Amino acid sequence: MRLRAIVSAAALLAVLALGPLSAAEAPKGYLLKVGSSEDLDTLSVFTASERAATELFLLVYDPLVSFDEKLGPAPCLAESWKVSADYLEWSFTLRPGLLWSDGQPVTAADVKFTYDALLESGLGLYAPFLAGIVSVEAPDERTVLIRTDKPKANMLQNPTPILPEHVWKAGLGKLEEFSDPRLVGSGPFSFTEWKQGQYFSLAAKPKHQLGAPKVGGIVFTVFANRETLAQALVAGEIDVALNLYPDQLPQLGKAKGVEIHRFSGNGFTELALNCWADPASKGSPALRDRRVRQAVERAIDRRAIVDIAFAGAGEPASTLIPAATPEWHYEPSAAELRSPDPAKAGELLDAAGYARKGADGIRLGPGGAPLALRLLARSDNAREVKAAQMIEAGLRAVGVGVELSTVDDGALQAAIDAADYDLFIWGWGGDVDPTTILALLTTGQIGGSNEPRYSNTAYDAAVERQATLLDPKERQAAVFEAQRIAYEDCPYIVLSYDGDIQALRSDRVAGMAPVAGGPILYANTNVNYLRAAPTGAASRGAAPTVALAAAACALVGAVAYLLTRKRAKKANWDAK
Amino acid sequence: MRRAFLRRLLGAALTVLGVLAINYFLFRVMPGDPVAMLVRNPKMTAEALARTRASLGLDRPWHEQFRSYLAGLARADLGSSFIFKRPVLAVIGERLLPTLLLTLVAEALAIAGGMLVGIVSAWKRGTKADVLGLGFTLLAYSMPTFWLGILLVALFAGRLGLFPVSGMLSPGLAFAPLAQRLGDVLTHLALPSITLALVLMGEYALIMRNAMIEVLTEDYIVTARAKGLSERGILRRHALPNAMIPMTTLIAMSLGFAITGALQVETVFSWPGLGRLMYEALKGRDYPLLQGIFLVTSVCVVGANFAADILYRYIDPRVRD
Repeated sequence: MRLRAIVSAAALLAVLALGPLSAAEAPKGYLLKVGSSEDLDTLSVFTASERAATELFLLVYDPLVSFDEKLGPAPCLAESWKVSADYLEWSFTLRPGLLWSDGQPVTAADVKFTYDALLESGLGLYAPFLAGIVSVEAPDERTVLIRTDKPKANMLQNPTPILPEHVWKAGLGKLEEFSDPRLVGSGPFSFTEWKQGQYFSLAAKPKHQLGAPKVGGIVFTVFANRETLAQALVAGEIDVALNLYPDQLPQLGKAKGVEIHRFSGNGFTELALNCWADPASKGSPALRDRRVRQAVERAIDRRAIVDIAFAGAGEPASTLIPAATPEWHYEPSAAELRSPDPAKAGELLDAAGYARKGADGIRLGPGGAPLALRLLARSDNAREVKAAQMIEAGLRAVGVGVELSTVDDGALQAAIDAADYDLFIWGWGGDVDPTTILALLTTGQIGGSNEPRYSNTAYDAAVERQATLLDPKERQAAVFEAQRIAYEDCPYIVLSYDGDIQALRSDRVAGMAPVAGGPILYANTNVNYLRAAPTGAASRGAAPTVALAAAACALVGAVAYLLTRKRAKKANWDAK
Repeated sequence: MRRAFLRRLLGAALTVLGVLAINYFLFRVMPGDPVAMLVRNPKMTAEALARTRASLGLDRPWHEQFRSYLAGLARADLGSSFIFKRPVLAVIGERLLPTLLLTLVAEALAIAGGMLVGIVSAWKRGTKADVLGLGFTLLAYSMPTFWLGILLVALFAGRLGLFPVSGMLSPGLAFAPLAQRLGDVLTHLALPSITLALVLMGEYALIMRNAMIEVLTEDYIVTARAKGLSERGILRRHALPNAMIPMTTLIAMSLGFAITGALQVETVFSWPGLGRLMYEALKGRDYPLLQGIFLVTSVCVVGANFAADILYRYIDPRVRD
């Protein structure tokens, strides 16, 4: 009796825990199942900051111009565009007959509304893509005119999703709180539901200007740990697994039907050096000398860090732009490159005035104080902590004392904001356009993203200039120049261009291919979601497991019933 | 009796209030800025940061923020989560039921199993059954939760394929009808609840065995035996009720912490519970969400202790007077 009560209570809780069912109808066709460690944070373009949200927006909304499978500009809402001779006025022509998912037509006014709302509020991940735009006009239903103050080199690398004005105008003035729970959009998929911490799902639209998806829907499942993520792929519960680690490759390599894609991602892990010379800086004065910063780099063996600390996930790095965007990555010449060399590190430190050594082998500064640096690493990132230990050992070997502490992200951010650190390890992710990464270290970003508080007018000028050059060759020269200066000055020692691994069940889903030699999904474009097609191989159904569980429940119930009966009899006998 | 009840109720309420105030300031003393955590975005301008800060109310003086927090609390409004931009109650509510499902099922299994093992071990003290029971107990008690979880996944989900690997619902069933989803949730529940139950069971069995052994050496047990009562009767009527007193405390404490205590199991099995939510909130310095979760937790812990206090009066007549 009591057991039955417990079982029914559990079942009731399970029903409640499932929550309200989505009102959306089940999509017809194959459900593409993606597993990753990433979840949404909000459903609004103005407030979301997670990568998963930008991936969702790629699927439910459309930009004016999207990226193709080589990350070149591809017509999306706009079928064509042209720019004036002075490069200050752009004109985009929208495709005819575009519709929002609620049936209303997509017009140039929607584009103007979206850009104006982002530019005015400055909110969210997309507003910065619109930097330099002075006005947006919609002279007719299908024409968008955009004026800029200076030539805007990345006008066509602008993934800003276009929102329907008739839905979002209700949110003007309170965009921080407003959101559209249905995500009315013009993209190839429509949003169905989000169960925070569990999954979010989408259904394919039967028609789209880029061609209808071949799958019926997509579900993105959130995994809290990578071991079970890999297991789920092998077991066939999901079709694609993202953010895997190299130590999982042997296990995945043995599994049937699993195709592994290893690539160098568009992001890096860096050792930042506090080079702020301001009186307010609480960093070691030693690091304000470029020779000391270069000596730190000479004492570090990037290859060993990548191989040991990062378990081979990534490539030893040099300049700011990762090699994943080869047209923008500057490779230092043999003369410029500072390969690991403790002897050279020693020479640099001697020249900087740290030639004398104390009894413990630590170098002494001009004032007699030992040269000791504080190094912060993020406690929940084991690979970065390991790298920090290797850096500590490398620096000690050349006579630089290191005090290593591990802190959580919040505490590290606080130390950075207060300029109260000498060295720390963290990373950045880049965009297709190089401006994002280059702008990190500009003087204007001191107090913001310029964490080392580095300042060099030549660097600032090169970064500003590249953003206005529409000729690819000229722009590349400016991008290279900026990277060369930053490498020479050494505010960041970029340790590795981070590697990433995605794996997919090619026996279940065909058609997906790496975008520009990199990722399959989370690749700045939705082409692989549109190309993915089921192969027709049977997916493991849940039915056998359900039947098994039902059988197990029945068995337990029967045994429990027999036991309680037996006990009841005994009890009766006792009472007599 | 009634007065004692009211006094305890008042004490419990004061404790919760005290915890609330301490939490409020504790989170804010922690290094780390929620706005910076929220928008670690290379392209963010200073104005946009200031706007975000203002929209979260973080630009106002601390006493004003505290006052509006208390005022909101009085209206049962816990504020809005920084990360999720939704009311804290809604965010917590979505995670509370999965947590309760997992922990309550695990607790029920652990209490039943732990008591059984403990009683048998004590009753058969020194025999092979005791050695076996005690061995199992110590093993389970000292087992790292996450490791046990991964072992069970590798064996039952990976090798044998009997149960799903993780999560609460199969990805393929996101659009399935209710009955099918329900069955799926129950199969997903099996491994995490067994993992949690095994770990909890060790503690229960150990305490139960000790309490039982102590009781079995009391004079009244000898008396009962001398009166010619059956062994089973002695166990059920005379020994068990007295041995239950320490167990009640343990169960109450354990249930109180059950709300957030399953973090490791939730992480191994990707179970969408409160423990994981708390971790996310802490990482993002999401003050309102942290406060909300700690409020729920404190109410549960204080409530469970309060319930244990009241329950004592029924199971132990000596406390009643």
